Amino acid sequence: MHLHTATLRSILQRSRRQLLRDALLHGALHGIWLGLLIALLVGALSRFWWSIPLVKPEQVAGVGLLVAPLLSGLWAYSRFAWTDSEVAFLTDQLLKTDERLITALYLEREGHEMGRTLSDLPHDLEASLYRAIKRPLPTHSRWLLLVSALVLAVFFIPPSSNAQWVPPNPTEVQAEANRLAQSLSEGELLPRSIQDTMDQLVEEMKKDTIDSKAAQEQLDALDHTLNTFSDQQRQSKKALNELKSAAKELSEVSTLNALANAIGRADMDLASRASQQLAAQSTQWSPDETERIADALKRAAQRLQQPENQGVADALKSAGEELASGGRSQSGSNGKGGQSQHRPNEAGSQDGQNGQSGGGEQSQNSGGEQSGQHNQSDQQGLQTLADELRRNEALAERLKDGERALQQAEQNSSALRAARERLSANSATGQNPQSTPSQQNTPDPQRAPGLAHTWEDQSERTGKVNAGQNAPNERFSQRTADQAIDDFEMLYRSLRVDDVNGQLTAVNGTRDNNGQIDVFKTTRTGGSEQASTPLLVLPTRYKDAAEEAISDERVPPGYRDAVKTYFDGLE
Amino acid sequence: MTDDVPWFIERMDQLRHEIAKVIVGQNEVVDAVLAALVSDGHVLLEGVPGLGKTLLVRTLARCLALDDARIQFTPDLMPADIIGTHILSEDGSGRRRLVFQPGPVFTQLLLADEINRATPKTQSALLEAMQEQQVTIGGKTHPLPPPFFVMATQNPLEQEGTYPLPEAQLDRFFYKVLVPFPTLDELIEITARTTGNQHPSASPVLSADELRRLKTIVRRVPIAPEIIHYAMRLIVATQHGTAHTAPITRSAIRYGASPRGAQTLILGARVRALYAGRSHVAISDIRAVAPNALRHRIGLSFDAEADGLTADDVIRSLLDQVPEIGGQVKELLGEYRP
Repeated sequence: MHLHTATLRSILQRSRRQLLRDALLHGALHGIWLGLLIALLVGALSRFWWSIPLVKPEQVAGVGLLVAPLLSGLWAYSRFAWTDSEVAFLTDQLLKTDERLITALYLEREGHEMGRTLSDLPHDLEASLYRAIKRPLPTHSRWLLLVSALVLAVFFIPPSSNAQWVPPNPTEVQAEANRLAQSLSEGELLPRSIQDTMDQLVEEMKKDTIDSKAAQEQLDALDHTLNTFSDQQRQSKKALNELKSAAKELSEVSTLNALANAIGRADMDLASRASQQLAAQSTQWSPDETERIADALKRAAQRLQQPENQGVADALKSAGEELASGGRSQSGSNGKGGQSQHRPNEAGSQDGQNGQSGGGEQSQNSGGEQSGQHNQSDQQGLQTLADELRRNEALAERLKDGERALQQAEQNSSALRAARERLSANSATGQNPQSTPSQQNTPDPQRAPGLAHTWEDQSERTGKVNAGQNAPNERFSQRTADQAIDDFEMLYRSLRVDDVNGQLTAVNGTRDNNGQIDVFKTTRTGGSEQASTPLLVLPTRYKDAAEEAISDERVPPGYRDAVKTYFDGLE
Repeated sequence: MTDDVPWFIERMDQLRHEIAKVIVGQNEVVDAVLAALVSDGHVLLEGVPGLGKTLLVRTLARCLALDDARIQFTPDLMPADIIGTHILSEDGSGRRRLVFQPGPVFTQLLLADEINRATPKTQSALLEAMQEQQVTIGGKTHPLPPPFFVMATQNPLEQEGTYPLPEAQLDRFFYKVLVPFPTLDELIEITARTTGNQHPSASPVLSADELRRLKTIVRRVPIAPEIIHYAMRLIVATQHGTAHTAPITRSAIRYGASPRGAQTLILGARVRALYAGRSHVAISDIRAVAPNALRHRIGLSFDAEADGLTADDVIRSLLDQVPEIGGQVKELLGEYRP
């Protein structure tokens, strides 16, 4: 096969291209090793030594693995500066052509005829060219896969305690997400869909994949969903409140205390047993007592108006009527002594019983059979009540679950509203708290009063600190000329547990004969447990502070009416 | 070159074939002698007596239709015995005058047998003639008839009472060829040819013009600069104190090859390329002719001789240690070769 100059140049050009490709590939292989070294260093450092306030180590390693081969390959490509003679010489060596190509190149350069120089070359020169000139992979490349697996394994090692990656300063959305993650309560009481929506929203806010406006909108939507759920659960609360009212009626008769307590707690199983006990004791009741019990049962039945309590109401009513009819017949046989007197206070019931016992003996002798039948009906009525109560056990449990769910939903709803208002305030004022997780509980002295501030928030400082005053980290803020303080914090500060950042979630007030008693429910922001402050009698200066606050008009404008109404109710 | 190579190969084959009628075996020796002949060089043959060295010269002379002569060097040989002298001659009229009587050197093919037995003075007379292609006597220069080709011999056995050729003189020989003892088959053939009634002889197969053309063809064979560079690196590797000095040089070579060695490498490689049917020189040609071209041009150190190293051993090491290519080509080639 005789080759001409053009063919010679073509061969050399193909050789050069193949060599260039191989240079790029080999350079990239070396770059992969460099990238693996970078990834190994980053992985080891992030696992075992110090915290690096950068992006995630996986991202750094990934960038290194991508960039290093690219740069190395390009560098090797750029270093490839082979002359035609060198390419020809290499090709001659690999193809074992006895230096025909470089001699031909020399003759071409000198302008001589090539003659027989390129004769007798193999016919499959092109195929043998690529086969021969293709550069074999370096020997170290066989270890690439294994080393890559080892480097990848390093990233699965759990970081040590002092090597946690500190994420950069969170945005306002991320800060709010962290707050929500700590304040939102989880449980099986809320529907799975609502729980999942909450979790997803918090997750998106943590990752900062949504902006403040979108977060506010989603918080609103979720709050609306929770409110709808809460409305559905209020029915349960109503029903339970009715049971408590009914229990109150029953408790006016001491004999029914056990039944009253059980129904008041919606413990239908206990109530059923109490009713059975009453049935057993009913034979020992005097007619007056029986009548009182009957009246109490009927009054209790009247308290139950909700559909959920209909069964219990009917059973109570029926039992009361049975007892009433039995008591009237018993008193009729026993004379006037059997009439009972209905008094709210059963203090005189025992005297009534003593008075009745004498007359009871007489009626007993004469009307023994008739009273026996009525006793049976009394027992039957109470037994029926017991059965009905037992049947409503599951319903009662659902009511209690509903009440708890309502409480949880309201709690979460308030947290969502607080978050939304804070985001809205930050958006309005252009603020970005830039708080780190360790600073989440530190009050922001720059926030104006009344902005994104609800009385459910933990006590946060809203005023600037003048020179010589207490440091901002102290629990009690200092008043400044143009900023209000958190009056509720001042009101409740004496009731707080020291060194605990508590989030005041609700204040439940109940009235008893001795005065107003408040129970403050607090939630520790750092943990999941709940702590309640013990029942306390409000200090005397509670009122003084309230009057002072109201008179100084330092109450946030949005809460003035509520504060006034509240404190007025204490009078 | 396209037509020259086939013609060269044809004529050389013809010559070899003709020589082979008389000389049994010794193909490498014959090729080396012919290579030196067509390269305008001289050959130093080293071998025991009776290997056909004289017969080779005579056969070659017959094949080329050239005059030949033989000089047996002895210790009492005088320069005048080689180059000739003036003698007093009387013509028919009785007048006496000095007439130059040419010596045996005035021939075209000369066999200088056992050249190491003559004195250095006598050796130098011949070597000067080899170099100058002429003889100067009495102020008058007498050119030697072309192509003046000398084939000198040395006996490696009898070293006592000999005068080894000085290095400068050895350098004038193109090749130093070691003549091996014939193989068994060759010996049988030799005996069969020479102990019978038939006496094989060679016939002229090449004219002087053809010989001149052969020489011209040899010098026209192209050689790439990279290959010349390799040959030069081989020569420089035998020198001390250079950047390309080979490790073997430091330990085994006392003095290295001269530029004549470089010329010999190039010319010898060209002839070998033509022998192989190529019209260009390959690196393998350089490597193949290096032993013949360099073994008489490098001086072994005392350590090398004490270790029993021969010149051929040192040349083999040299060929291993001097890379054929350099730079990034060599670096890349290393990845292809395990």
